[in-house]
Amino acid sequence: MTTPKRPISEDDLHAYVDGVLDEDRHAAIESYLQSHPEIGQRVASYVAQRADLRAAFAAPALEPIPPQLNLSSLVEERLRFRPQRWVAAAAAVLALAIGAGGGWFLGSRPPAAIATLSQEAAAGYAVFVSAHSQSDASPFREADALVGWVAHGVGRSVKAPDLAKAGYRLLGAALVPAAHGSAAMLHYRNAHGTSLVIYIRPVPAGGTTPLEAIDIGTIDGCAWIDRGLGYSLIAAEPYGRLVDLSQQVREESAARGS
Amino acid sequence: MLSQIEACVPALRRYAAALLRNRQDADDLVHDCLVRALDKLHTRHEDGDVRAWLFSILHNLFISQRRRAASRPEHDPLDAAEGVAFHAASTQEDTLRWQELIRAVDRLPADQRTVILLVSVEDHTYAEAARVLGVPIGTVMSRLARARERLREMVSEPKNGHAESRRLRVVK
Repeated sequence: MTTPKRPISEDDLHAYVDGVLDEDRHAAIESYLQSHPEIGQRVASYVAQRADLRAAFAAPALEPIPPQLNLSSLVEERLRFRPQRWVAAAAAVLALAIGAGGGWFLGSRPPAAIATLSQEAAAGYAVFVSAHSQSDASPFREADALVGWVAHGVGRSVKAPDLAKAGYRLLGAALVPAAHGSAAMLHYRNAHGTSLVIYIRPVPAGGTTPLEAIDIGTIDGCAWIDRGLGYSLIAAEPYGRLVDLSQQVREESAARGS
Repeated sequence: MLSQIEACVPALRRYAAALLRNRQDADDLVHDCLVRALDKLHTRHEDGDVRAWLFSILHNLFISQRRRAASRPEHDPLDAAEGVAFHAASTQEDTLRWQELIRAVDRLPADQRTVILLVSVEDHTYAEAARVLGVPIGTVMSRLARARERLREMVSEPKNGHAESRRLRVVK
């Protein structure tokens, strides 16, 4: 060995006990312990102690998980009964939008449905993106579970659209109370920090419609209905780009039958 | 993310049971930890290190629980066997040795107990344990060293029972 030997520290002895040293260091400690039997004895007893501790406390981790700790139940319970504060804020804005937009929830046909869908989505976008533009944290999470939850009435499994190819990373999802059931808000962001929101909720009247441009104030988007699910995609991007992104979402959804 | 959380539940139960030494209380603590974690999901935008994140939530709940409990009168320490089921396959000799060890762990100061459980039983790295407990790694190392030595003295036969180790056995 050409490098000078690093002195053995107490920390090294514990790292040896926990088996986290690299090979060279491990060997160095081993030979040190052999030449210092008293310390060797102490370290050997730590090693035995570690094994005994693991055995003594092992049992609870080997038992089946009781129902009250079932994570899926906890998630579902929470979606139903524990809306987050910001969801309540979003709901208030959406209620205003729906009031202005008219009777989609009464079962009217598009384009009234598209108009309402767009307004809901735009209102949600305004709340989420402006409220969270200062940090990377997002209120959205567990997109697939949420979208599946929202769309459970449409009779097929629906997942959160994947826009990774277009450079948009999913930050998460949120459940939003809508006039008719629940809606999912999916929040994406690209490397430039541009936010994109996809809003999904069942359309009681059902059906499928082509993409439609929506224009709410300063921001553009697209909306469409796909086999009973209404979609709205909003981002601060040129309109042509929004159409491309919307087409991707549509095609992906058709491709995986969701 | 949810599946990563789910994968940690057995370890959380083990750690909580070791800390509280009562299975019902332990599962209640894990339940609160999971609920808290779901509440805080939106503050996480990376999937990395879910385990340390969950353990730190559990740890903080444990600390505030202890603080509340401290205002109540001291209750009798649990029997070593209570709340701990040993492997069916273990010998009686093993079981006795483990019970003694558990009793000794119970007598460690809480700071040392959490460190030795996280490192020795839960296989956390020193950095992870430091994150869970919110202390520097150096503190983790010194608590670990003291915990191991103290346990060794409490559990080993008093053949090398010179004055110092006797003193340590009494001082809490």
